[in-house]
Amino acid sequence: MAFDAPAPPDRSPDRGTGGEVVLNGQYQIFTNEPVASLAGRAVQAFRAIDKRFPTDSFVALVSSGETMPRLETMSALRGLSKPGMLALVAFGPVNWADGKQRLAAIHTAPQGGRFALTTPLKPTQIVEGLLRPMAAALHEIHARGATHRSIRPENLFMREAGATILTVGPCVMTPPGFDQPEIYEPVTSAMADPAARGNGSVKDDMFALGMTALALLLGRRPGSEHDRDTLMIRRLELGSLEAVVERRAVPPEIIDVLHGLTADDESERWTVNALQKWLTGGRPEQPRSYDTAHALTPFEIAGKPVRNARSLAYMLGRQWVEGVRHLRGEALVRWLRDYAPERTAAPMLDSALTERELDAEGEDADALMVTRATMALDPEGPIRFRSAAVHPQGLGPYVYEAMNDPEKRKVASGILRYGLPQRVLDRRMSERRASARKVTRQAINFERLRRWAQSSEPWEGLERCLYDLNLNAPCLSPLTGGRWVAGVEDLINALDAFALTGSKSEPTMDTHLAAFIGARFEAAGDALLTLMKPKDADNDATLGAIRLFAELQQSYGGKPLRGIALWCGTLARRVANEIHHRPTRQRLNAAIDQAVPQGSVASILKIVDVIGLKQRDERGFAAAKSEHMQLTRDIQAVERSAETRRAYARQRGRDNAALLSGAGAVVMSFLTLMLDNGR
Amino acid sequence: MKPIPMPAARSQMNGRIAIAVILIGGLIVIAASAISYLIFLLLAMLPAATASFLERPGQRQATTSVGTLTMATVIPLILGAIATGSDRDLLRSSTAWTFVAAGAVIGIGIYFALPMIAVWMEDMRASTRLRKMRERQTQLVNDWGAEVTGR
Repeated sequence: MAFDAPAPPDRSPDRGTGGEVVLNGQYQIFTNEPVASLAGRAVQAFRAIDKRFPTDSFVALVSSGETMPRLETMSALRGLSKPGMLALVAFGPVNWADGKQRLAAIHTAPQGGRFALTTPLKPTQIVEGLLRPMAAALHEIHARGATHRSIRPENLFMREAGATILTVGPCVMTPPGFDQPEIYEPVTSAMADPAARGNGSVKDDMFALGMTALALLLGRRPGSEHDRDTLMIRRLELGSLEAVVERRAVPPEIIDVLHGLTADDESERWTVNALQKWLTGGRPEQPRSYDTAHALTPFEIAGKPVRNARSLAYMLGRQWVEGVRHLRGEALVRWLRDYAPERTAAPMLDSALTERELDAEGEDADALMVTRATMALDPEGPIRFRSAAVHPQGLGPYVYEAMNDPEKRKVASGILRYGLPQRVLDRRMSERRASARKVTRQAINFERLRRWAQSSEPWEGLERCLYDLNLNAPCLSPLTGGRWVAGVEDLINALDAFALTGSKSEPTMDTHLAAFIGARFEAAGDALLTLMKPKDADNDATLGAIRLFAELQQSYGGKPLRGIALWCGTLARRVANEIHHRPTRQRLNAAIDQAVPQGSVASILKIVDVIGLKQRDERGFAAAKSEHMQLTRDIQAVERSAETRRAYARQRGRDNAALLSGAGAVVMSFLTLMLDNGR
Repeated sequence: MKPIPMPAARSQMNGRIAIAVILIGGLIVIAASAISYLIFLLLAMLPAATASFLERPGQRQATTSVGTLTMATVIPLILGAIATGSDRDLLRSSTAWTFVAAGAVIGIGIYFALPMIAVWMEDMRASTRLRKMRERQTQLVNDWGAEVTGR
């Protein structure tokens, strides 16, 4: 598995009594004691304790299952404890009250409660209470190859009551930046949908920290006086910091750090080291300030005036239906040519609009025209398709979220089938600096995803993309019975338990399960088809399916699996019943019947996977058929020739009568002599 | 010099002449002993002569059967009578006629019984063969299923 797998829960004792569940047999979670300050849109929070040390207080965050948790980050951050962050102590699936399993993460509880942003703080308070501890915490987080992506005032806590040091809260239960208001995200990811912001980089954390510091300084969320679109347009046209605060309103002792942390150009933005240097009295290099160009005459779209290509691209993406109208008209191109500060924007747009989407379906042609236009105007921005804005890195969590929403599912499928991630990356200047090897690998991956999204094979489609994009995603098939199935052991156990219920006599798997097996175990297509439609599969495919289970069982350690053996027994009988030779068939079926209760799939496979068995049977059957036909002909011949044979026999009898008379004559002569002499 | 092969018809003719010579010789010997014995012989051979009259040439199995068995009784009786001085009156001997009749009946019996036995044996052989073939077919169906019949 790609992450340090959480230990599978022990089913029976996990479900505690009276609103309690237990994680890893150690952490008791009180489901009737919610902790509102740590709950989020897709996360519930409850009080928890360590059964070994009941006096220590913990908080359990429990995923609703609607979004993809960050399991790699969990593995990276487990056990990390710094004053500037709430430590993650454990995570794993727990048995929930609805009979399903949910992912839970145990954090140390903030004894001082959540920080409330009510009044502005002084710069010294911000430096000592936020920037210094956060710099230390982020240094550790980034050193572990992880990012936080949830730094905002609403996620700041106080470890102890009356503490002056702020601690950043949890970040692992939702996709990166999922709960972040746009202002705490750099412009490129802020434009993307919450689940589709991507892992981003350590610099994204620095931006969030800078904007959080500004919020503390202002005593309110920066830019809260503007609506979402206006704020984003201002950020794109003025720069993020300038869009929310006037430079002269920022105290000089903190302006440098805010400027350094909130630079829109990621390459200019401060790192943790630069921040630490500043905190120790150094003077890190200030970001070069660019005058973000914007036109004096705006172009209005959906009632919002835009003044440069990026803000135009943003609004086209946000209002794509109206955007189509503008793109078909002349006013927009004229404005770009005459007023837009970017001289190349108009020809780029012209070129993008002349492209044709040969495989576009229905309304997609219009949506793709907008997508091409936004890519041309703002190649560093997210993929804008229909109403969605998706960062190529954020495709995995977006597709996961889309599984529960038919509209989003359609959009996600479109993004992949039209190869939009690769197309946007091809246009990015920043991607051209990447190594050729990385670019090639990325292109191959996106091409594979495009093929799967287009595929009509039942085990591919968007589900296959889901499990390929999210290496730690649990299997969403109902056949898992709501268990958290992320690896071989989980899958085998879930399927075995399901098979033992007897509700399905053979593995009629759904698309999710087939796609999951295909993605995790590189299973062959025909074997997957067998698992989905056993009745349609040929012998080789059926054997392939049994072999797949046998390999899964072996990789699991060969532990007996009676439920799966029942399924494989049914599949094996299907193969055995294809054998014409009844004694062989009976022998095979008897052997299968004997092997099934032992729970060994390999034994079942060995019975039916005999090299040349089928060919020998076919040859034998053909010979038997021919012999039967010959016998029928012979029988008919014998029956038809009865009268002729009898006539021959009669004639032969007569001929033999003469011979027999000769022998009888000798006997008769002696008898005559003897009897006559006797008189 | 190679011997010239004798044609079959000529050889057959020679055989018949030889038999006729033997018969005539025999008849002369019998007639020389007692004319009554010759009459006895001719009367005794009447069933064979009747059969010969009824059968087609070349298909005289009844004549052969009856004639051979009748001769097998007549010749010992005549030779026995000649050997004992030719004073036995065979024409009036019920014993002699009983032997002759028995010979003729047995000859007729063989002629009629043997074809029936041959037909019966042929029927038995055919039914055994049919049974074995049907058993094999049943075995094939049991081993390979009804599909093996091709229906």
